[in-house]
Parts: sequence; C-alpha cells; structure tokens
Amino acid sequence: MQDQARELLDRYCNNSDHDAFTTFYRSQSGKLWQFLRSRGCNEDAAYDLLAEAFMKFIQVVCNDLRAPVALLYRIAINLHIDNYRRSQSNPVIINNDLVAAHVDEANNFIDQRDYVEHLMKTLSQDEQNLLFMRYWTGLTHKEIAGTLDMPEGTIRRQCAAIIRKLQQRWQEEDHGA
Amino acid sequence: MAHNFPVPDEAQLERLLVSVYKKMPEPEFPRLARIEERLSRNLPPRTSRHKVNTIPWWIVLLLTGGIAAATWWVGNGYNDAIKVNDNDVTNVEDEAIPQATAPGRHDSQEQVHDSQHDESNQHESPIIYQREP
Repeated sequence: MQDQARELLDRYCNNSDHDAFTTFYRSQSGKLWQFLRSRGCNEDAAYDLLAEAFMKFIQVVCNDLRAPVALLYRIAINLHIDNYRRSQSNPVIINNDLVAAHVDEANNFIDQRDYVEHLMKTLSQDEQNLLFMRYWTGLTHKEIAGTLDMPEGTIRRQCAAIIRKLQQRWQEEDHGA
Repeated sequence: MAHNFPVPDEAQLERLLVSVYKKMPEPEFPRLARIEERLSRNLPPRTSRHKVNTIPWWIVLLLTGGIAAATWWVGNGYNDAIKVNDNDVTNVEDEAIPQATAPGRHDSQEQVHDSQHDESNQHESPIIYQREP
C-alpha cells in the first residue's frame, strides 16, 4: 500500500499527474479523518484539519517522496496538537450526557471488540496514535519512526510493549471478576 | 468492569484492534469531495514542475557534439594536421626532383616521337608538288 502511495505521488510530482494525486487523496482521506476523530476531534474539526493537512502536504510532499503517508500523518498530528493547544485557551463545555454514555459503555461489554475498545481508551494519546498507524493505516515501524521523529527500534519496542500492556490489563480485569 | 473473555494472544489482539478500527464512523463522501475539489484548485498547474530546469535534448546534443569536436581538434586532430602538412612538403620535394633532374630524357623522347610522326606523314600524305628532275 505504501509503495502504491509512493508511486502515485511520484507521478504527481514528476509528471504533474493530478489524477494520481486524486487517487492518493481518495485512498487516504477516509482513514485520516477517522484518525483525527479517534484523537478526539469532533466531526467538523476533523474535516477542517483534514483539509488543512492535505493543503500543507501538497506544498512539501515533492521534496521527499520516501514516506509520503507518514509525512501526511505527521502533518495531521502537528495540526491536531496546535488545534488542541488553541482549544485549551477557550472554555470547555462538558457534555454530561456523553460522559454518562461512556461510563455505561465501560460497564457493559457485548463482545471482545467492545472490551478492546474500552482498553484502548485507557492508553495514552501517543500509544493510541502508534496503534492506529501500525494496525489501521498499515505503516511500517520505520515509517512510524519517521512520523514521530523517533528511532525505529524504539517504535518496535513500544508497539510490543503496548500489546503486552493490553494483555496484562485484560488479565488483571479478568482476575478481578 | 468484569468480563469472562479469555486473554487473547498477540495475533488475536491485533485482529481485535483492527475490528475496533473498522467499527469507527465513516466520513461523509460529499464533504470529502468538497475538500478534494478545493485541493484540486490549489494544485500547481500541469507541467509547470516538469519544465523547470529542463533543457531541450537537441541543445544538449549540439553542446556535447561541439565540445567533443573541440576536444578532438585540440588533442589528436591538431597534431595529426601538423604531421600531414610535413608529409605534404616532403612529397612535393620528392615529386619535384625527377622533373628537375631528367628533362633531357623527356625531350629526346618527344623529339623521337616527332621525327617518327614526320616520316609516317611523308609516307601517308598525297604528293601535291614534286620538282621535275
């Protein structure tokens, strides 16, 4: 998938093939929007950040075509962080209904998938980013390392550690039953 | 927070993670299409990047040919040209010597040829006038 993305953007950068860029956008925009939603953006903010991320992406992607998807997620993460910092300065209105819904969800697990979703929410933001990029976007350890500015070995160890952490929490709560 | 699910191994957990992501809400297609349209307006015009720093092939060919010819001329070609000129001078001298040293032989050959020609003319020509004895 990453090779295909690279090939499309190579055609866009070297032959000005706009159709190739459109194909790349269609293959990535949905997942990027889901990524932003999973990071806590509301629907509208996710669309806005998606548009902004792609705008910045087209300005810089042709400078280095080695890991374009990783670059796109890096831009999106940075924009999300900026957006989060801006929102910190504004007053936050807490929706009590939503909080109650989350509590209910946590106490009623229909199946293993619901339970995993609950466990994922106990992870830190960085850990959730890592899982998303590894298991949903399909980035390699090396590409994630490029996205997060970290050594590849560290990313590999962190991925293994997160899986172990989830198994450990699963076991602890099972024993608690 | 209690459950009765058995602890999954690594592969099972990875499959469960993917299934969680699959359950996530999908974006609305019309809104993505609007962003796509906006992006396409902001893409650089076609072929603008392609032409940057691109020299036509025939200019490159001409320049390469010119440089190669100049190099040949300055290197081997010029020396050969000098040698050819030297050879021409010696050949001219060689050819000039026989012409200068054997003119007599050439002249005698011509004289013999002329006398033979006169004799044959005398035999073949009709008698126009003959002195009376």
